[in-house]
Amino acid sequence: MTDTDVLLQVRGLKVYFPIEKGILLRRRVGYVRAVDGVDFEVKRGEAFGLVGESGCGKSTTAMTVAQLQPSTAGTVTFEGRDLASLSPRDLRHARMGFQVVFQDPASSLDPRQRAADIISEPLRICARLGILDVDAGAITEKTFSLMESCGLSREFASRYPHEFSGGQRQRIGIARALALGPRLIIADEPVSALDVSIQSQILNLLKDLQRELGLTFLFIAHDLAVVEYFCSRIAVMYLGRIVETAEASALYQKPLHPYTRALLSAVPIPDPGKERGRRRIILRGDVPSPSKLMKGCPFRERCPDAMARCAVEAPALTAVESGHQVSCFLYPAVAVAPAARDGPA
Amino acid sequence: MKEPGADTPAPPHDASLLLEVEGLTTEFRTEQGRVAAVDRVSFQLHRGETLGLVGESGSGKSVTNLSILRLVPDPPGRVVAGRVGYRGKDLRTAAEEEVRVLRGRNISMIFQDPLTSLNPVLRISTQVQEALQLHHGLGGRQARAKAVEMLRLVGIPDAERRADDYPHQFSGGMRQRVMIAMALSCNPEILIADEPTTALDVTIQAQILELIKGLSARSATAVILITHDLGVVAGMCDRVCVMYAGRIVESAGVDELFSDPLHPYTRGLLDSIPRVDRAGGGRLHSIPGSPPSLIDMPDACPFHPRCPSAMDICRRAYPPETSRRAAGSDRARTVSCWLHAEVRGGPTQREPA
Repeated sequence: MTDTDVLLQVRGLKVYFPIEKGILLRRRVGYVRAVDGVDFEVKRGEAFGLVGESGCGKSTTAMTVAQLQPSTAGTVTFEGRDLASLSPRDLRHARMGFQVVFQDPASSLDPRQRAADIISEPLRICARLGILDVDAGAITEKTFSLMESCGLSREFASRYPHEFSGGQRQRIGIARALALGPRLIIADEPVSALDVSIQSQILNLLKDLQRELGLTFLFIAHDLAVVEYFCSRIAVMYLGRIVETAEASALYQKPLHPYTRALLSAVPIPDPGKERGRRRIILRGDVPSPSKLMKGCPFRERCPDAMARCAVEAPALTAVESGHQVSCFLYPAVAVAPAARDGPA
Repeated sequence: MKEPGADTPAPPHDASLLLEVEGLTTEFRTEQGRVAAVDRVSFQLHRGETLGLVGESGSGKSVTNLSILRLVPDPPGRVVAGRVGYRGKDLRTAAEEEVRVLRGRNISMIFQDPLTSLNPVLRISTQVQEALQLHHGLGGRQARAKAVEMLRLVGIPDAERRADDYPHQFSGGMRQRVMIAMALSCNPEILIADEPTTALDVTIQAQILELIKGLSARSATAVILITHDLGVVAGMCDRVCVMYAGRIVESAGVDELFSDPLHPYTRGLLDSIPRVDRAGGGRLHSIPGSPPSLIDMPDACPFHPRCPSAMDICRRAYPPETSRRAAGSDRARTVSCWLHAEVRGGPTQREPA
């Protein structure tokens, strides 16, 4: 793999939110470690999924990658450039390359703007700032073509968000994200707010757009079935860290990390026969608070396979097979050609 | 006790019939017109069984259950027709006092969002005790002991101490456990669980569903499970009613429904969910369009604009409910679809009258 294949590279990403106490003399009493050392790479043209339960840091990771949330440590490299090192003007330029589709289409669209204005806003802003050289006519034309490719009829152009259904609103959000011709779409739970019959329409639309426009996706979701369907590679997060990364099919056929195994076994399958025969791994307890400083493996308190060693040191994400990495002492690292990994720093 | 999920549905004789809903219709008056949120809904619940009510948002599944317990806010809502037969009474017309006594004691409910269903300024113990004191006349100390026992039963660690905590000190999963403890404390015959795990993560959902399953099996409680998740239905229910636009469009035993869905909506729904047990990749089946507005619904099949097999008649009249019984099953399955409306000596016979 050459470097040009890597569109997005995230290294050692940490996002800590300080917890402060006191009114006059505010002092820091700790941190919520929302993202605690995350590394991954997204190759051009692939759909890379980040899954995990609430509070695991997947959305914070996405928002930090999108430069909507400052990081505490680590780097986000997009198309070979470290985004944190860019000047505000250069960052604005770079942003045209990566756009976000948000979870809740109702709250991420301005209720007082018409559909066409929402979709064309990125174009108008870039035209005003002189980043993009387009005139009003071209913007209108582009808006209509975006609406069409997202399955919205032209007649909807002058309607307001409340006049649309949830699925159509998400189409508007997607059209807006595509307006500047991005290479990377960061989709943060894009179908979670939608009903099943609408969800499949939006997933199909995203798949079609990926193929037609050669888009790359960083896809965040809590629904494992959706992620498996949409993504080619998946990282499972737990408590601010990636615990397993693999090709989608490998992850579902042969999950290695005890957390991934429990997570997959908990997903209900719409087949009564299969459900009856299934053995669920029921995890004890809840996810610990990310403000608690834990020694050892973050999953050990709930892990059915916890060993003495897990309380002492934290396992690192290591390759156990080509393209399959896991952070768990159950799996000794094997020497795999370090395709995607850095050498020792 | 019968294990839930076992293949044998409840025996057909009437002794096991617990709740019979017939032609239940609930309307809401809005500025745009009348909305029949629940439209001529009928189903039966048998002792010890788990019945799933599935449908998308706005299909009327929650209002159905609020209507059974007479909890629909009036105005704007009103139960305008139907019968809710329970213990020889019609809950729709019974005196408010009679229904109040049954609520919480014989029929109890778990809501979707435990945070908004728990009182934030009262201790957990106070809230769990309330029903016990009210319905069973237990004294303070006895009620507390029973409340702590219930909390322990639903798996709250260190229940004795945690009972004095407030709801905000509990996690989402723990709050839902508290709701379940409250709902089951009076040993109800019927538990109505309205999307009990929708707000929870999958690993916590697995814990909660396991809990409901175990407790309902132990005490032979019949469960009405409202959900939009067909995976949850497959794992939990004996029978299923599929709702669309306020009506039950299909009802069947869980195996029949998943292996041989009759209504095009049910089929479309089953085909459009991505599944972890199947490889991804290709396109998903999708149902075009979106559910209709329920305001002043015309007399037509509400699914016809989205239906791949829509015919002329579907636009003109609502299909009659066809009932049939598969070989080896002792309860009929029903479907409301013109495709199945005429059974002129076909392979499946009509239900004997």
